[in-house]
Amino acid sequence: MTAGRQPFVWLASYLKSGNTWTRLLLANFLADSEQPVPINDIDTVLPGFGPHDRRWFDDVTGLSSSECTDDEVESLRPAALRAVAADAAGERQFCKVHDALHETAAGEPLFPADVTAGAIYLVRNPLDVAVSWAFHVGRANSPGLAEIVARMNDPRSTVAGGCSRQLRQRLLDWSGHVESWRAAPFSVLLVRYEDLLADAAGQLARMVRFAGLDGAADRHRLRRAAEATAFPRLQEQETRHGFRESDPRCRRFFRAGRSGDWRRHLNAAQARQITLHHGPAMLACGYDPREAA
Amino acid sequence: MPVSPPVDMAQGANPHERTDDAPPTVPFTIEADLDVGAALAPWLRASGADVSIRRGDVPTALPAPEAEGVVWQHASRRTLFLLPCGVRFLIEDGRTVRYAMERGATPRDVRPFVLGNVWGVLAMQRGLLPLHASAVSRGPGLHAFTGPSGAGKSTLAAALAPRGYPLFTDDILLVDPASFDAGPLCYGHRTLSLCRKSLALMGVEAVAQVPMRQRLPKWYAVPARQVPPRAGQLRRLYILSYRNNVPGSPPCSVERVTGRLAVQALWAAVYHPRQAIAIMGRRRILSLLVGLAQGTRVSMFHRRRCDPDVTWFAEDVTRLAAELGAP
Repeated sequence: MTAGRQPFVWLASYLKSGNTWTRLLLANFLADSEQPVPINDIDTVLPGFGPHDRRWFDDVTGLSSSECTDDEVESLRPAALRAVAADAAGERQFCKVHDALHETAAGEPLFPADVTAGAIYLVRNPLDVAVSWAFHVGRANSPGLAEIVARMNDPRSTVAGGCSRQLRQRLLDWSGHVESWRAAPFSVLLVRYEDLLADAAGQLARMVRFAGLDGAADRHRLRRAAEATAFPRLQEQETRHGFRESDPRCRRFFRAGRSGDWRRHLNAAQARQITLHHGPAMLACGYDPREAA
Repeated sequence: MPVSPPVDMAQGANPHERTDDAPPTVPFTIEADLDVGAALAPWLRASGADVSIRRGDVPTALPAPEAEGVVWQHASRRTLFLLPCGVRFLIEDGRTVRYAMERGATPRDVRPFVLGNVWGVLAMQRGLLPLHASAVSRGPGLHAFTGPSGAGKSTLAAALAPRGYPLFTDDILLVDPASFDAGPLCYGHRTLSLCRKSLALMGVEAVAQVPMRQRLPKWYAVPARQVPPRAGQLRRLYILSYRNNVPGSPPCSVERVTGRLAVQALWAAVYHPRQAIAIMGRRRILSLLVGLAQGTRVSMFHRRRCDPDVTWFAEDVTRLAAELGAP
């Protein structure tokens, strides 16, 4: 599996849209083993890193990000990625990102096309995203959901940064995030969370082909990876071993793994706020905003 | 340019006092034309210092660099930094530091890097090994905490201070390889930099809280009333890890590591390892870490992620205090 000077496949998504699940699918596919990949060992199987990780940034740049402003850090991220690409020895790197595909203050793309093989963009019905995000931060009540909806509608929305362990990531609003990646100057494979739920092996085959990996026609291997990452099995692993990537406020990272949960948790006004803001982008991704009318 | 009053001197202690058999209080002295803060007072001299830090001409590139990173270049005992805030540094032979400011940068933008990146490179060029660690003292011994930015090194060290473990250093611990036969001797500076949440969380009384830089949500804070030693022997080093997130697991636990695992853990604690390799060489660093592992108790300190939960953090501090022993 060689990738030349363009080693990066961005596993890009808005928050709570199946990114970790996809990493586990790919990790289990690459492991090609009867034993499921432990959920805390994704990074040992799936080559890649998180470009939002402060430790990664400090190591690559030789600069302490904690002494820099968020804007200064952002300005160096493209150069940091190019430095890693130069050292990647031709190996494909699968990198989880939640940033929108925007430019730095200097007008440089945050994820440079010259080091990018392509992006797998994971999208989920924003009505369900709101619910999943609220559970993730332990605020699945009405005020918590209202706050999440407001953030999803705010084009200046960011996560992390400041003194936190992750670098600042600009999300834009949900539509802005989706549109930024759909307009990328490199190949983008759109994968819907709902389609993953319906046919994980089929969607995995699409991703494997897109990433240029061998084995896209190996149905046994694809099915085994899909079974290893079925939600009950992930939940069982999380119960027994915990999940390192989980937010401390989150009771269970692999919570439900279903679509349509918004009907049980969002009130009519909250659902309408989302569909009013994001109707066109929802339609473009195959979601019907009239469902929440 | 005048410097801030040294905190310890203001409280009646003499940081330069030593007996004949006491270790030197600082491994090198500096003179600077900008305010480097009260915590560096013991290192400062008006003239004749080992290291000069002054504004001057700084190139934008080094000819034929032997090693380089995103913001730095290294060639024959010269290291250049080109920082995104418009500040450039040239550090030469462990003796001179020149800085230049562009694009609206001010001395306030210079200072954090003098205490950080520049301090680390100066130490490397002078043969000292800088670890990315904060430390507190207990008697003549030091207990250090290492981990990546955001792991909680500074906050833990600061929270231990009011429990009777004076803050020895924040973020960088300088290890003197010449001392390994008698136990690794270390140096530090007490310039805490913390975010607002940590300042409130640690509950430490600070004599000063000064914003680090414009638009950076961190503040310098100097714990009050305590006068730690200027040098000390490193007794224990804890590597902060977030692993105790299994439901029902204890909030925190300590696991000792030895031999190769300890050396691996220490390697991760080297301050900006790529620069260290360029300046000191991989083999030299490895041999120093082997010596350090032999003379120091190295442990993993497994914790839950605790950012939003004060209770877990308090448990971490209590567990660590018990581990360190009575002050």
